[in-house]
Amino acid sequence: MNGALEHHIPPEEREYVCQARNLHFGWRPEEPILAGADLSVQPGEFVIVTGESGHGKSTLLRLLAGLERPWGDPLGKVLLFGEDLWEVEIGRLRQLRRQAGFVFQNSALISNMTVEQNIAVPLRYHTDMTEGQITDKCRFWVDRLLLSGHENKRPALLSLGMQRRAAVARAMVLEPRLLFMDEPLAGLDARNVETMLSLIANLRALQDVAIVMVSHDLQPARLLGGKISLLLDGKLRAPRGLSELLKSGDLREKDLVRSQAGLKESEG
Amino acid sequence: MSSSFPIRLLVSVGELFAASLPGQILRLGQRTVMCVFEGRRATFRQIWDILIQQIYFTGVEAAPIAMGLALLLGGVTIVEAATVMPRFGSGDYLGSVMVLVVLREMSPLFVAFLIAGRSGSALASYLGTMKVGQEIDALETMGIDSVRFLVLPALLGCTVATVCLSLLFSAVAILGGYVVAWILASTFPQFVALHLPFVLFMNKMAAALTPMDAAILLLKPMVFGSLVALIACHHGLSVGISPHEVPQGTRRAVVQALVAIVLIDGLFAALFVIPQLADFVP
Repeated sequence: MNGALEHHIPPEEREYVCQARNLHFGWRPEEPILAGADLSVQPGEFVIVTGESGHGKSTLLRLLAGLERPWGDPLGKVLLFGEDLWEVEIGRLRQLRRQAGFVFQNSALISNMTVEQNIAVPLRYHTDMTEGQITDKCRFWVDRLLLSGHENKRPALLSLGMQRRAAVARAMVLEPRLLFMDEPLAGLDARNVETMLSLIANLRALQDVAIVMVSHDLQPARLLGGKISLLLDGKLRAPRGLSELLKSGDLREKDLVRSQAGLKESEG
Repeated sequence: MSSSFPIRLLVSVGELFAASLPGQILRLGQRTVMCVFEGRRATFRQIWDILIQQIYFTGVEAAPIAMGLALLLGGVTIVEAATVMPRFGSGDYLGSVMVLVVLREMSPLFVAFLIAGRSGSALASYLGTMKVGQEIDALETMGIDSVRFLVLPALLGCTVATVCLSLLFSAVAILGGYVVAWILASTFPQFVALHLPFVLFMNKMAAALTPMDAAILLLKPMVFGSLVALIACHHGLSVGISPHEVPQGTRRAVVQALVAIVLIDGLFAALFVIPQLADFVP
């Protein structure tokens, strides 16, 4: 599948699973949120986008997934696996999206379906797997995301942490090469945060999936590594490691990272 | 080469129509129909489940209400027609009047109103809630066409259920209505007269029934059912990001569906019924 996908993609773009170039966006013309944001994500890479609250982190993720159209003349570009989301035809866009999972902050599970039915949706829609194979695959992800015993419950009966894990299972069931996660730790208690982080570490180790995570919490970077891209004044700063950012000469950058990583002054 | 004025005018009118509400609803209908021929056949198994749920909710669950309405309305119509018409010497037209009133008008119209109020509102609020909860965005991020996944089964389910419910309504209105009328006539003989035996009543109806009536009995509910589904889906999917838009979308869906049903019913009358009324003019 990947060979067919890459045949008409320039070699320099093949090495990225996701690229954003010169993205401009805002919900109202007089209030731009993003002003020329750039981002490049390589296969297997873990990038955390962080920034102050209400400065467009989640909006950036929606743009990267093609849920919002960038502004500007010429339009900014969003490339998924080297192909421009706003230039490919709709059928091709859907093929590209199959290879990129998305975990919403509110989980966005279909409310009148059980956990297992939610996980089965992409399999039943996109594959020729038999019902037995689909059930087996769903059970595999249910077990892996620690949802055993809850697979026949509807989302409303699950805790926030379980809902998030079910959303991760649904996003991962087609084994995508890229996973977008919008604030996966927001609102979770310490134990659920720990569980989620170990699951993300597992996914990275076993599935070799690139992850773009929007988070106001830099615990994942402390515990799992990866690079941090700061969204400041509508622009994304080049991704760097946590330790590098903590040594940054830019005080604003340094303070933001320190506060979001939960570090005290002396720990910086 | 610049196009001529009539062509530019036609294009402008076309663009205006496309941007208008009926234009948007027709476009959604066109997109939904095209979905049947696009994509992989395997996807239909997921859609099939939703289609069955839609038929169950729209048709099966609404059947007792429809049957109750049909019994009462059929009974009242038969009693009034059978009591009043012979007094004016037009008892021979009872069959024709019953076909005209029950089969052509009352049954498709009442069922459509019931579907608009019950299923149209439920569909619009369901899709609106899904939109607010980002469930539709989630489908799109999985590479799933939300029109194919949600609108197609809703459209098919609503149409099939409306046709079935309309046939059921007609049968209950005529057969059950006769029983209600007979009970009324037996209970209150001083007020209600039903001197028409059941077999004769059915013969009169059968004699009055034309192939056109049968076609309208099927065609009208098909149009009404699909119209209710498309209007509801359009307003459900047009909800923005705020929960307060869900009841607003639902209200618009129900009101516009009711208006559309009456307008389309008028169109049917103009095309098929009014020309035939000449038969009744002395």
